[in-house]
Amino acid sequence: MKHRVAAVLMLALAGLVYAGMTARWQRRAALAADAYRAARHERREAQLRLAQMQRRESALRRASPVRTAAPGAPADPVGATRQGIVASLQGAGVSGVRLAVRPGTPPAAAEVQLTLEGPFKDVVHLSGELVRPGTGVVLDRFHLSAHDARVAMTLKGTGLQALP
Amino acid sequence: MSRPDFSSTRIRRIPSRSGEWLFVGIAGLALALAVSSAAGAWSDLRRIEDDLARTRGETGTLSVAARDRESRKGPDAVLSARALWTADSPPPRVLADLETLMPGDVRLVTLGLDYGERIELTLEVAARHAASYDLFLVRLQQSPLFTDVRPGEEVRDGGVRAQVRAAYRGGRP
Repeated sequence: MKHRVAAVLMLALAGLVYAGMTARWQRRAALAADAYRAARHERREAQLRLAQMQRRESALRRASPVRTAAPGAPADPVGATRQGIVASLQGAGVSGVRLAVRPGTPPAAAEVQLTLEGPFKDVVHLSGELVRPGTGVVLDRFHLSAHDARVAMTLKGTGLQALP
Repeated sequence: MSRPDFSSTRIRRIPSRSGEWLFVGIAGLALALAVSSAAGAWSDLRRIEDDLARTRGETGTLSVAARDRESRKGPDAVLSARALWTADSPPPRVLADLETLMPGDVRLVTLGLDYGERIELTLEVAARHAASYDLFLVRLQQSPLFTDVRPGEEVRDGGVRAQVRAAYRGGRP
């Protein structure tokens, strides 16, 4: 008889443990798991936003012109931007070049406007050279129009200040 | 000597001890399982709550850092966006991506690229056959590199001369 009572008590206790603890904690764990999934999604979104801003800041630093200590190198950003563009134009096989480099409003150090024409391949290659990181030129607008075998390019950009 | 009389003896039932022990064993096992599953559930709950707290903490730190940077938005932010697009997608890259979508008899007449928060494209293309232009447009709309494709005015006179606007997405995630 005693054994039966003990067995019944143990079964009752097992039921209580399951209903009062296991099932309750499992429900809480399921809710916490849902919240965890949502929190991970938010964390991923925040990481992406931050990474995007860091990439932009890093791109701006990389785009900034490299300071040269060469004799005769212009110290002012307008002169330095102009000199960099003129150097890129040399031997580029283009014609009808019209270049204007003016002081810009901060944070731009200079405003650049360049018009030229030439064979498609040369003009496209030059457009990449003019704005590659380190030249200090960031694109604003770019326009290309085909005229027979040649193309005309107009480029508007921003000249950056050299970083210390 | 008398012989025992078995005829009147009552048959006594021997109590089944083994059945009771089996019942006790099953009950004990059920209790042990209940305790064990409760311990497992508690352990899972603690682990998930710890992970949740840690993730929320990290999210908070990242969000504050992102908000801090966003609050500094201004001319610098626009310039930074343009610098990133210029470095990642200079005109030769955008042109190369466009050319992969063009059928043989479609050619670019003009191309305008506006660099800002994204790159806005304005194209004028000419095609000897209308079907080629249609194919180009379909490819452009289906390309993962371009988005917001908006066909503009088109002149169909045997061939096609048409304007298209789109945004360049590049290889960005």
